[in-house]
Amino acid sequence: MAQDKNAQLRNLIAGYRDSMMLSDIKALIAVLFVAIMMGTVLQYRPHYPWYLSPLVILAPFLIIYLSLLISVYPRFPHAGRQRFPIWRNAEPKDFDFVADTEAELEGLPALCAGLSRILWWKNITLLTANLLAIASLAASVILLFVSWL
Amino acid sequence: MDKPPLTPIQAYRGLIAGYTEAIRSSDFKANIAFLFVAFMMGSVLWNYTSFPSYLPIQLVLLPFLVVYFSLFMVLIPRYPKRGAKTFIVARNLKPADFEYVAQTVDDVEQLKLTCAVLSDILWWKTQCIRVGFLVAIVCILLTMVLLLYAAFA
Repeated sequence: MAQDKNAQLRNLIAGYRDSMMLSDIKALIAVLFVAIMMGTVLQYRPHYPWYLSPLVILAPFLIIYLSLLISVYPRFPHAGRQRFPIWRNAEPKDFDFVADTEAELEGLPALCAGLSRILWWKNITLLTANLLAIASLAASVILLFVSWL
Repeated sequence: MDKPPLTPIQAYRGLIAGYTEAIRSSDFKANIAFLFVAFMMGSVLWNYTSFPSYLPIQLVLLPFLVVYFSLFMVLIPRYPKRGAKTFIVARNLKPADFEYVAQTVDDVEQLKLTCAVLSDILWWKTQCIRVGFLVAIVCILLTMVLLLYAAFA
């Protein structure tokens, strides 16, 4: 029964890691898309109406960059650090703990909690960036038609 | 069906797989960050003539260069000498050179050494990518402040 629970926790950890990787890939592609878009948008700045000041044009881009960079910022959960040490000049004897599989099993729930917290932050920042991008696109469409009519 | 508990060798192999995945992910992030910063630098320099006089070109370019430097440090290929016995990278190798590798592939001491080497590599990559990302985040915040200042001052 306990082994079954541990297997489920391991599956959950694999699920969190997969979701985090997917989230990172989405954020990295989005950051490229927005960087290319910003160049195109800035190129035509002299043709824009007076109320589209540099602040208004650039603010959504900068907020999106900030959200996406926070989303992909490298983080490792505190709970798992003892089992996944990232040390400078690590020695082979520092890894004796790996053979103690009982300690690993005890740390699984805490690791799940840590990964869940990281995924929450990644999700909320990615969501902010995506919603802002969608809102900006909608605003651009409206502005295009307002100036055309 | 219940799984049998992990053997130490499996546990070390799992940890090594974790390090390899983290290193690969770090490299991927650095590669994309390179493209992002390169695109941004084009946009910024294109509009340099509209910048205020207190932003000299050196000051504008400095963060870009620091970020490039950090990202190059992340991506620089590393094969430390202490792990070289089991992961030989050399010119003119013979099949016989790999007999030692096959013998030590399941040696716990060798696996521990691999963990240590990978942990060291990941430490450097994480520090450098964090510097690059932090510089980028701080510069974006500064740009927002400068834009607000220019709009309302």
